[in-house]
Amino acid sequence: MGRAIIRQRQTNTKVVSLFPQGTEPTEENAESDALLLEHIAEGDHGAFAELVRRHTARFFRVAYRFLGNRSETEDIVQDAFLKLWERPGLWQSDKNTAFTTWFYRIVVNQCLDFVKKKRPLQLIDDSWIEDERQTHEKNMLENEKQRLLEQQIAKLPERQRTALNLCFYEGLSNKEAADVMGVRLKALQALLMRAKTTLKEGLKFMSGGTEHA
Amino acid sequence: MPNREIRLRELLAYYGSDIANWPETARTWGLKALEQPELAALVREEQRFEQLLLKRRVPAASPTFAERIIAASQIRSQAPGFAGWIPELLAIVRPSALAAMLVLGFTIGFGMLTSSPHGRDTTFVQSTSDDEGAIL
Repeated sequence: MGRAIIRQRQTNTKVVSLFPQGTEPTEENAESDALLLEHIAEGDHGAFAELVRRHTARFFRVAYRFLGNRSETEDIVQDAFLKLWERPGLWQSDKNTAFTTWFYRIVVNQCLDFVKKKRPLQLIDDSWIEDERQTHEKNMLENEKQRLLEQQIAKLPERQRTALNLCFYEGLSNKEAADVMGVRLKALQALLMRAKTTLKEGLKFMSGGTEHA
Repeated sequence: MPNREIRLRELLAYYGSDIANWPETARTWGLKALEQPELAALVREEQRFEQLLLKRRVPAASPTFAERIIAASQIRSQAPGFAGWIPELLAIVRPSALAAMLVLGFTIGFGMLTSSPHGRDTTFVQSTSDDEGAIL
């Protein structure tokens, strides 16, 4: 049964993963990221271009989950990469942290700062969902479910939402997510527990619909 | 609620419904828990919940987005700001030589200032006033 669960999850992950440019975090990637960063520190623009091409889709995805708006997401991600290019010394390889973990922290913090300063009420840009609706009318119900899901997630307290985004949607381990958020492992797990419990309660009527579908 | 159920709910929240990916100790415990129908039902419930969460979609990044970032970085490379100018200057001029130049500059400037009886060049101020008067 365990294996069946794995297969199902992998299939689901593929459905969600609409980002062919993105690469999953592996030790090999982490090692070559560190090498690229060494070259970037020496002013190698080709190395910077390679790093950007490798990780743009991933960080676009994570930032979009916080901001829900394409142009703001692009601004935040671009700004984070440009800061790295201008001040490569910000990255310290001797701290034994993978580049992606460190950069998740940068991007997530920039998103949270942005939301706090500019936009206290998060409004999801769902114009791209509308486009889809026009071409696939039968997906109307699914789009509505997605909209409700977004609303429930947006209602979560910031730290719970961050924990959910990093662990469930980005697939970070509890330890990695705790590092990104600068909290202890137990605290991260408590945040996850609360986030999921709240969502299960809020989405009860939707999960009922899924069972009968 | 029995302890095993509480424990399983916690582990499902921390690590998700994919028990094979749990940390080793938890995995052993979780796989054994699946033998009990009521606990296996909890895992199925978690799976349904996760499928619901996976309905959340994100639009793909624009195919040109990475290239736009790269182009923007090139523009910034060509026009370094003040922060970029200092290290470049230090690379050309030794810091000790730069400090000596600054001290010399201050000494000369301060000397010129104190050599004037009113602490400034009054001739220049006067002529400026005259010019302004002519225009008016």
